[in-house]
Amino acid sequence: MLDRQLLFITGKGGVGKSTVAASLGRAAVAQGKRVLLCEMDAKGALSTLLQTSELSFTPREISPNLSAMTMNTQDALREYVSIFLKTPFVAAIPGLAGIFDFVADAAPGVKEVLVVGKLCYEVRKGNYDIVIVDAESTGHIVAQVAAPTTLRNFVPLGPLNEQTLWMTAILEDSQKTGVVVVTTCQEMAVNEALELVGALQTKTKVNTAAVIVNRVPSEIFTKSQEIVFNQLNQASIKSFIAEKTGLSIDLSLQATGLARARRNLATNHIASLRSGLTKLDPIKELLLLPDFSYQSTDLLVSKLSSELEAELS
Amino acid sequence: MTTVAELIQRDGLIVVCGSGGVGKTSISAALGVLAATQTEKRVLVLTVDPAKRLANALGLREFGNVEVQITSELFKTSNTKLRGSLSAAMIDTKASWDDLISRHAPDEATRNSVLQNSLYKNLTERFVHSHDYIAVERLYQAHSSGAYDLIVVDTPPSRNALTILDAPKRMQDFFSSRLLKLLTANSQWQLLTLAAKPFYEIADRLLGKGLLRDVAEFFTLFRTMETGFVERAKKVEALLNDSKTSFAIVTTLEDAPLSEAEFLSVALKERKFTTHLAIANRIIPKELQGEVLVEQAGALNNVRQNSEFISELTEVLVNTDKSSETSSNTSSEIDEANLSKLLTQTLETIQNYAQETTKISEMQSALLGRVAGFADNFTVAPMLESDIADINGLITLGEKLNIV
Repeated sequence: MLDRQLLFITGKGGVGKSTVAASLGRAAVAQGKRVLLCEMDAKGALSTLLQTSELSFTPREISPNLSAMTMNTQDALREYVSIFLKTPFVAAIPGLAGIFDFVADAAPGVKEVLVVGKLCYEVRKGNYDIVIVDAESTGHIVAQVAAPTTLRNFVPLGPLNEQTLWMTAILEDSQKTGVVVVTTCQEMAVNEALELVGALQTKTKVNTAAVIVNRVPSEIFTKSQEIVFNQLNQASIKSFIAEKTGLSIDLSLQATGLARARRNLATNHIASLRSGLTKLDPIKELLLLPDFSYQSTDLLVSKLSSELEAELS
Repeated sequence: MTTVAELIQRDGLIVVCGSGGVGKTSISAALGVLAATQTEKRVLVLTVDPAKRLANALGLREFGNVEVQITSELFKTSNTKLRGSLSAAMIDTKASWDDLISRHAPDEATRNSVLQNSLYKNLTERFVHSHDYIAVERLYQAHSSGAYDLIVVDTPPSRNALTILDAPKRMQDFFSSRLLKLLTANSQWQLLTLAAKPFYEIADRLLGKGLLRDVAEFFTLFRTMETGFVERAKKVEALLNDSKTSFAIVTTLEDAPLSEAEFLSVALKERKFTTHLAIANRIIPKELQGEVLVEQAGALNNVRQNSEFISELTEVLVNTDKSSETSSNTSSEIDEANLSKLLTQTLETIQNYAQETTKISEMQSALLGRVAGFADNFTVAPMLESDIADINGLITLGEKLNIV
């Protein structure tokens, strides 16, 4: 996964996209890569996770080999104009950015192309070995990675059209670009992940690099311990224990039972994810990451990134 | 601040907001069920994108804008009965936009041109945060129909839950924006005026010839609906500001959703909305909180090291298993020596989970302090053993919310 040059990390809201993106970034640095992390919505989650000050459009090296930036359409437009149209003064015309924003909002693919174009441009420049994008949630990613193609169909002529060709060449090369779909083991998140993998396959030529299940509760019992647990959970056994030791273990059983039920529920959702994914050939990787949600922010990223390193090595 | 019991007694609206993945949809549905079973109100639950089983729990089978009344048949297996009535609907953005256009278009020709325009689909999907606008628009529609006393609305997942509150204002701003006027004011000759010329030349160079013109044409058409849209947006805004509208913030006790909840409560205050209730979801059940599990874990530690007791217990387990008709196969495959080893291991795991649960519940209590920081009054909902799949699950969740 980390051998590619451009990774889009996406998934349903709340599944931990930013955390996974930051952890993948750290894992790639640990592999000796120069990494650029890019946040797509200016929500600031990435800077919090990386424990650094607010990010800007210009990438900033926040630790050795790890740079980070935040995406901004207007800055992307300015850069696009000055680099590709070679007319730096144009972007300075008052109101142009505004009207462009307005039109870009209405016309399919324009905004996405600017944004995706910036990312592809970073890949092309080669200042980094890998660009990891903390992308927008499920609803937008298909439109985003397919934007150059969409735009070509919509605007058959013009400079923007020509620019989309090299972008597509990067995006549709599975050696270079991949989408990583993050999910948790919850019904909605799993369904959305499956829908997304399907949509990426049918609506785009962009490869899905991996599906990552985040926050998987750990296994509680082995199969035979499970049997013993069920036996202990009988009224007669509980009263025998109480009688012999003066200890009522009811609440401990209940606490363990809750953890076990949640683990089983997660296992079922992962199973349906797995079977759903096998139907959608070809599937690269399904990674399971443990539940660290009760860790503090700094520990969260470092724990997850070492987990990812281990999984990916 | 209001308790759940007071909240469901009020007529009006409950807007349920919070970060993605915290269980807003289940909580909204549970509040709706609670209101319809505890009061005689006509209740509607408006939801955006429910999990399939949750939708089924509400009797919703297909995606659509139609409000479906939940029959008492669904409550057949439950001790709790409907006192009022309960309806549910999902919000379908595309269909709602089509409705809006049909309602506001001055004539059939305009309506058809808009609906068939290639830019229209794109517009409904993301322009002016259309999901958010549609959610409040549907809310208004349901409210003004007069068919419901209480409407619970589950807010759409968006950058943050505030966009829904700003949606009506943004819709009005959109129509009055200079850009829209510039773009649409007589778009034919506007192209030729001296002032606008560089604009169009550059835009054509940037975007490709003709794109700007297409967009201008579409918005010229769209502007014919301005009056209708703006009036409607004003009414929707007024409804959100009405004292009948209550806000509930749902959060789990984890850092990210909690930060979002805090941000939300501040922003609500700034907009002069009141947060009536905060709900901390997925907390360790009450009976498992506190010292009790620590004590049990300590005792378990002693018990599992007591070999005499372990062998006695092993014997009991073997005998119960033999005599029991119900627990068919279970330990028959495990021999006695293995069983006592397994028993020790299992007791150790139970001890570990008792400790783990205590640790999580301690962290949760600490974070609950943050909820108390933004909400004078909050209620908690327990971590559940399974996904909610039927009306009984919603009844149970609702009852738990109602315990103060």
